[in-house]
Amino acid sequence: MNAYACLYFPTGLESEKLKALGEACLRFSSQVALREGEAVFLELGRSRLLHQEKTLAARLEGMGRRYGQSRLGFGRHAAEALALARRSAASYEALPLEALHDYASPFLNDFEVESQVNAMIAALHHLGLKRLSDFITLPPKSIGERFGADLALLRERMEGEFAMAWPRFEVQSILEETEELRSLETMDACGNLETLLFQLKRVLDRLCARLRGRGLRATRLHLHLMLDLGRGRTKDRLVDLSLALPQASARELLSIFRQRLDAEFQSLPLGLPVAGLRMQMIESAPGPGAQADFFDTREKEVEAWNSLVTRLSQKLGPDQVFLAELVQRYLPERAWKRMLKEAPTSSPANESALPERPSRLLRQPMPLLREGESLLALGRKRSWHAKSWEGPERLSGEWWEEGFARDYYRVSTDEGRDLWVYAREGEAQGSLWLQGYFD
Amino acid sequence: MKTAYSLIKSFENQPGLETAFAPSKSRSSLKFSLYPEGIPLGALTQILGAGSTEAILRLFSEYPEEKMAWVEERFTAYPPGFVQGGANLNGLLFVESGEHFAWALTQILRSQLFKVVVAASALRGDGVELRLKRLQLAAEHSQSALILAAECEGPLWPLRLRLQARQEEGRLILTQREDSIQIKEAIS
Repeated sequence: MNAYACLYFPTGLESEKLKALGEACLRFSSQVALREGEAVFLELGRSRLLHQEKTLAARLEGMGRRYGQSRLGFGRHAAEALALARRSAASYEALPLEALHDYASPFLNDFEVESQVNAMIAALHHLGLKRLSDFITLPPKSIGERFGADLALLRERMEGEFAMAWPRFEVQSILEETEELRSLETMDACGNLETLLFQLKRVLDRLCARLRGRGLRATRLHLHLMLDLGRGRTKDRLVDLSLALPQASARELLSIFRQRLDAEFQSLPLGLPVAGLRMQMIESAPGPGAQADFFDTREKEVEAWNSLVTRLSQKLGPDQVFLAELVQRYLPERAWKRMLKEAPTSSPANESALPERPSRLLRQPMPLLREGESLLALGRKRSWHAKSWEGPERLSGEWWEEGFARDYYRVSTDEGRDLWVYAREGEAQGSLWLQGYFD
Repeated sequence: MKTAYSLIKSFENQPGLETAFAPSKSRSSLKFSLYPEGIPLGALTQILGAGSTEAILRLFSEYPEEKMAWVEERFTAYPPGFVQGGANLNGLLFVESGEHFAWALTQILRSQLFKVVVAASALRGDGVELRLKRLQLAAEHSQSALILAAECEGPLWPLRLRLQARQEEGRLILTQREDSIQIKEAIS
């Protein structure tokens, strides 16, 4: 059974990028190792997730493409996975003897070991052996006697009987992704929002893959736009994005950035082309499991909810998008508060045990003058004819703040809508306040 | 200049063409005890009159598991009253949109998270027809019921249904408004 995977970059990969890829791979397995500048290894046996080799291959290849041209190999152990990935071979039997280098030192380039293995390969070539399949047919007992203990050890390693310790993999302390936007041919920088967003999507894909690997979601991001001043000089323009609710989806983050950049560039145009992007995660929150639940759409729903609330909050203001929660207060206008929940449940909220309350409340109570059965709104050309009065309901208290005492009435009017009015204690007869209406 | 509605009417004798401009004829609707024909999904419905908020809260109460959204330019909804009306505050997103009323509605519809979206302020000003058309398309795409709970300036043709709420002997009644434009009429 193939319990190890190796993502190999034939043209090499920068150390920082390789570490970032390793971090992203943590979503598939807790055991990840790197071969400096060349490959990432995963121990699939350590994965607590269910993956078919085919689907995992597709996902790993997709992830590898974000960093460069890569080849994927699966093997019974890390060395075999590397050897197969390096030569795009399906099984170790087809590999040339030179693959012994990978078996000897899969995790690092060791020149001393390399020269020793070269000597072993030369000796095997003298015997007319060309492939690992030829080498594996040699009687195991005779290998140590004829070629030495090291080659016997390599043979055992090929059989998976002599496992190697994996080097420790540490995630980077700062989660940061960069992208060069200058065209390689013309050295032209990026000058419009659509192109910028296209490149930003790549950055966000990588960033979110790493967030997933760490089991985190972003709550605050810094996007540095490196504005091109010419002659290789750049000027930094910072976009500080605080998210109302945490987010780990590249697609949703892109739509949030699209809206934000669109608004920013309208008020303060770019002016200069963008030579590069740098995205830093400043604050984060714990995220969901590394693997999306196939049978549950809730995770996607939460992402969509968080994205919507964030986009609305960005444009409308932080307290303008909310869920309401009832609170125990005597003052009617303070009997609820605005709050934001990440994943609202459909379970019913607490029921209100209060006497009947209106469905609409005025922002500020409106002074009314009562003349017989007529109610006149002071300062506005509005009047109602009261048909019946229900009440009063005495509400008072909150002496620890300003204190209040009001007698509330529900007034049926000829208009059809009932009004919710109150009289303040100590005010003149006929002086009323309209606070809401039953619509 | 011809409005889109008069354009539809002018296509009466050209079978096929009229449907290119008509709102979707999708039959799916939300069952509603106050209006047995149901509230159309993926379309705009206007509910006006004394008791319109109560009617909407009754609709909310009949779908406690669904997410709903309430969008207003300036907030007047009173959540304690909403709870008494049957709304589940845990699934009801409130948005105080200010001047970005139509934009907020479009974003909410596009998210496809909500079964019912209530536009509790009036759509006013220039370009109401275009905004209504956009909202109609967004509602159709998301298969949400968009309820306009206020008068709106502009043509009526994007509204699939117009309902009038009124209290009769202490009972809330919803009836279709006589000035309601029915798609059947528009395209037959």
